[in-house]
Amino acid sequence: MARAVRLLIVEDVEDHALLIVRELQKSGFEPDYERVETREELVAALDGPHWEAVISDFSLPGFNALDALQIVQSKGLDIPVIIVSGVISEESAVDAMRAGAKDFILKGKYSRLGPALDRELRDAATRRERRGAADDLVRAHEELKIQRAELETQHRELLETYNRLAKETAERVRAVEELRQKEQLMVHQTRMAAIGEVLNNIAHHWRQPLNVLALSLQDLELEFEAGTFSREILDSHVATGLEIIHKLSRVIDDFMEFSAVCKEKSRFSVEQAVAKTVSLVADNFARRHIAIETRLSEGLEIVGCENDFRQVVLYILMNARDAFDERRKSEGRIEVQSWSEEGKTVVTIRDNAGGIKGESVEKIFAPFYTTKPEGKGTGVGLFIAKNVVEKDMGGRLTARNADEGAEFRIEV
Amino acid sequence: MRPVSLLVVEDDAQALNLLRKMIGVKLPDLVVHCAEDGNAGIKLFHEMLPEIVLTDINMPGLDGVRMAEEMKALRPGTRIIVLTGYSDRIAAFDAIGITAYFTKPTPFSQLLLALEGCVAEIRSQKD
Repeated sequence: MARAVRLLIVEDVEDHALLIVRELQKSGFEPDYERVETREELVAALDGPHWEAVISDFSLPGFNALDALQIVQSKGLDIPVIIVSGVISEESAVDAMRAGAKDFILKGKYSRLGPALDRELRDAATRRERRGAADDLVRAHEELKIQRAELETQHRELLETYNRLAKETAERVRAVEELRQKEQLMVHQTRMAAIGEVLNNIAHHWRQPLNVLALSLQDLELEFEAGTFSREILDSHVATGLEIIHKLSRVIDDFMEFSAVCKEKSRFSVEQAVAKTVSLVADNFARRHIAIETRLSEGLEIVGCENDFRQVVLYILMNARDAFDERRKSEGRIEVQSWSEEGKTVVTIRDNAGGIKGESVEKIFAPFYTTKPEGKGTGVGLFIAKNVVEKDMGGRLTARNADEGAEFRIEV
Repeated sequence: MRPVSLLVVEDDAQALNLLRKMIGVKLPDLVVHCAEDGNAGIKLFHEMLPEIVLTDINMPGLDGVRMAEEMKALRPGTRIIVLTGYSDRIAAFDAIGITAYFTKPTPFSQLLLALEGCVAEIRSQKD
C-alpha cells in the first residue's frame, strides 16, 4: 500500500523533481509534494502546512542546499533534508552533512532515495517521540514538584494539627487528673469532717464523766481531811471511778467500731444501726436544740456494710444539722422512721429546717454541690451517701420537700 | 445573820451531788440549793434569791449564758461562778460580769477559794 508523505522539493528543473517523485513511488511512497525554486518560495512553503521532508538539489540559481538547510533550521523545524546532486566535490558533500543534511544522493543513484527517505522519516519519528517523551518527563517532573510542594504543605498542616491535638489531649488529661484529685480531696475532707464530727461527740461524751471522776477523787481527799474517811466511802468512790472509766472506754470502742472499714457484707439490724448512729450525735444535737425522734420497726434487716449504712445516716443527719445552723432555726426536730414496704426496707429522715430550695432538690446529690457559704461543707457528703446506697447496697436515695422541711428516703 | 445561800445549777446529776456534798463539807454554813437545768435554775433563783450562783454553761434547754444574764438583770449584785467544758465564749462571760470561771474537770480547791472569797465579801457587806 502506498505510503503518503508530505514532501518539499527544492529543484529548479521540473523534470528532475518528477524523476525524484517517480523514484519514491517505486519505493512505495506516494508523495504529496510541492516544488520550490527560490529562497522566498521555500520560506513561504515552510510557513505553510506541515512538511515531513525536504529533498533539495545541491545548487540552484541564486540558491543552494546549504541555504535551504539554514532556512529550515532557522525556523526550528526538525524536517530531514536530503540533498540530491550531480557530481560535486567531497568537500562540499562533507560541508553539507556537517551543516545538517541527512543524506547525500548522487543523481543516477536514485535507488537510494526511497530507503534514505524511509530511514530519515523513521529517525524523525523517533526523534519526535523522544522529544515528546522528554517533554512528558519535564511535565511530569513539574507536576511532581507541585505535588511535592502540596504534600509538604499538607504535612506541615498535619504536623501542626497533630501538635495542637497532642497539646489539647495533654490538657484534657491534666484537667481530668486535677478533677480526680479534687474529687479525692473532697472525699477525704468529707471523711475527715465526718470523723471530726464523731471526735467532737467523743470529746463531749468524755467531758462530763471525766469531770465527775475528778470531783470524786477530790472528794476522797476531802473525806480523808475531814476525818470521815471509811472503807465504805473508799469502796463507793472506787466503784464510781471504775464505772466511769468503763464508760469512757466504751465510747472509744463505739468510735472504733463506727470508723472501721467494711471488709465484707453482713446482715444487720436497721433499728440498731440507726439507733447507734443517732445516739452518737444525740447529745451534740441536743446542745444545739435539735431533738431527734425515732420510730423504727423491729426486725428489719439489711445485707450490706453496717458502718457504711451508719455513715449514710450520719451524713444525712449532719446535712439537717447544717440546715438548722444556716437557717438559725431554734427547736429543730428530726424524725427518723423505718418500715418495710413491698419487700424493701425504707428509712426516712425528716427535718423541720425549712426544706431544700426549689432547683436544688435534684442537685443536692451532685458532687461538689453545696449551698453552704465558702469553706463550710464540701458538698460531697450526700454524693457519697447516694453512691453507697446505690452502688454498694443496690438501693435508692432520694430527697424531697415535705411539710416543714426536707425528707430523705433510703430504700434498700 | 441570815446565812449566805448558794444555787448550784448542773445538768449532770452525779457531778451535782458531788458538788453539793463537797461544798457541804467545806462550807457547812452555806445554804445550798440545786437545779438540774436552766429553767429550773431561773425558777429557783426567783424563789430563793441566792447571793451566789454556781452554774454549768453548756446545758440543754435554757442556755447557761442566757440564764446568767437574766439573773444578773434581776439582781445585779448576784455573784456568778461559771463551770464550763469549753474554753471559748470567755468574752461572753466578761460581758455578763461573772466573778470567776473554771474549765472542767473542775479544780475543786480553786472553786472553794472563789466561793470563800464571795462569802467573805458578802459577809463584810452585810456588816
